[in-house]
Amino acid sequence: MFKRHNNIADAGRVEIMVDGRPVAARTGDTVAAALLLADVAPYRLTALDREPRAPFCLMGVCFDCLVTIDGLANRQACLIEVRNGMRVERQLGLRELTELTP
Amino acid sequence: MPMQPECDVAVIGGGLVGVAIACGLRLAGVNTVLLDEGDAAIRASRGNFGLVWVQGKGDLLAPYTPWAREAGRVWPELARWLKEFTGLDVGLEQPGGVFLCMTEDDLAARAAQMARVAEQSAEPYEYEMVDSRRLRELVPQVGPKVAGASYSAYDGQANPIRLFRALHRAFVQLGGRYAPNAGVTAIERRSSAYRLKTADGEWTANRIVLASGLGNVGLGEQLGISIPVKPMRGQIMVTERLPQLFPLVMEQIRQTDDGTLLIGTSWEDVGFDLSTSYGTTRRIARNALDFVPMLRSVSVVRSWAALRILTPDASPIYDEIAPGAFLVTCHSGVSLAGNHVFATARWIADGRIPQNMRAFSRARFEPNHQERVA
Ligand SMILES: Cc1cc2nc3c(=O)[nH]c(=O)nc-3n(C[C@H](O)[C@H](O)[C@H](O)COP(=O)(O)OP(=O)(O)OC[C@H]3O[C@@H](n4cnc5c(N)ncnc54)[C@H](O)[C@@H]3O)c2cc1C
Ligand code: FES
Repeated sequence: MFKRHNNIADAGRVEIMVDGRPVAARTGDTVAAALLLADVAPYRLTALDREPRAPFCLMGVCFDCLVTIDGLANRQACLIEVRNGMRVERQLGLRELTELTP
Repeated sequence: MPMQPECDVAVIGGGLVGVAIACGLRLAGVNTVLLDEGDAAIRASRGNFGLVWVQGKGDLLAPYTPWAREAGRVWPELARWLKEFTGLDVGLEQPGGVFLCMTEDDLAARAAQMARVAEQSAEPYEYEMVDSRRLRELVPQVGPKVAGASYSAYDGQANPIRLFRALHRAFVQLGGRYAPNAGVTAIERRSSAYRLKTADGEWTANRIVLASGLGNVGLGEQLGISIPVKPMRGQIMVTERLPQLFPLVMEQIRQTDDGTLLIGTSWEDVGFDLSTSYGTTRRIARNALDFVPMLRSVSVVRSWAALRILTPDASPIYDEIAPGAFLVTCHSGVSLAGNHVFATARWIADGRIPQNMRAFSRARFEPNHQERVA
């Protein structure tokens, strides 16, 4: 659905893992941009009503782009740049707290 | 020409206290207008912690103990009525609560306070002082450094913002008139009525209710009466949403029905300064990690400050301070909401103060007052 703009110089390739699947991205992409370009859908589900959501503002104010990055939940994907080998998981509903729940 | 509508009662102040009274007056069929300031006003009702709290209340004024218990008992009726009448679920839960004590000294002080409160209660007062082990049976997430807690089955929580909205919706649905941007700037007594100048025209009312929180000080001056309330800042942090965690409500950390955790809180005597401060939020966060170590992996998304409306004994004032001029103010406007809608509004409607509200007059703060319980 989304296409990369041709005018932007290619600053180098990276690969991130999205739900265990390799996704190609470019240096300087935000995680949100990489996921949108890879057509990941649904992008996420809301915490309470499990409604599908995708990045909305792409500038850090709406919190609709939340994902788990390298094990940390509820990160704003529109504010974080991809890094080679980064592990991204979609949050389908509430984040879990399993590792620490007694 | 400014309008001069007539009304029987003008409630001045549209926070939780004023709107609760105004709703109760409409339920009693009284022609009521609610005069309020605008969106930018100072309003404890928008920044509070949302506890429906009973335990420990009244240690500085004995009659507050049964009044707070009564409030806990009528809350379910308030929640049911608001749900039916406005469609809004205010999220009341009353699973019991614990007041956490970090050190053995804190725990001993709390035990003494609770014993005092229980002793002055005419009816049996059920609570339990629990040690660290028993506490973690009640709330498994509490950390091992915590010395213990006081536990009572009376305590609970609600969603205070939804409560605020539901009461406002109910008032208008009941035919009440809400006037925002109408802060009262002058009060004049004219024979048997009050004439109110507001930022948006004038009103005359047979009776008035001063329910303006910290604004009551200025309104009292208009009537030549000093009202002993002052601001006490509290800072609160809110986290990302989490699965429901705790079987009980904790006084220091609670989880909302939306899944966020609210972490409080501070008592800061800093006048009308509504800012948050790094030092205080850091202390709150550090304590929270000792209280509930699993919060280490949880992100805080916002923090804010709000001003409590505090009397010298932290208890409410209910008083007819001039003929037909009623003062209603309290620190725990969420906890006491049911009392205000039902009992307190009825007092204003019919002018007869019930026995269980008589101890809350302003006179208790006068230097020579005998009944003062300290
Ligand atoms: C940090 C914090 C935590 C709290 N936690 C809890 C809790 O867990 N449980 C609990 O029960 N309570 C709690 N409270 C207390 C509770 O929020 C207050 O008791 C309650 O909100 C007071 O409501 P109020 O209507 O008296 O005052 P406010 O909410 O301050 O409202 C006053 C209203 O009067 C209006 N006003 C002022 N001057 C005028 C004027 N001249 N003319 C017209 N209108 C005027 C203002 O615009 C405002 O709308 C907490 C408070 C704070 C600050
Ligand atoms: S898309 Fe709005 S905060 Fe990320």
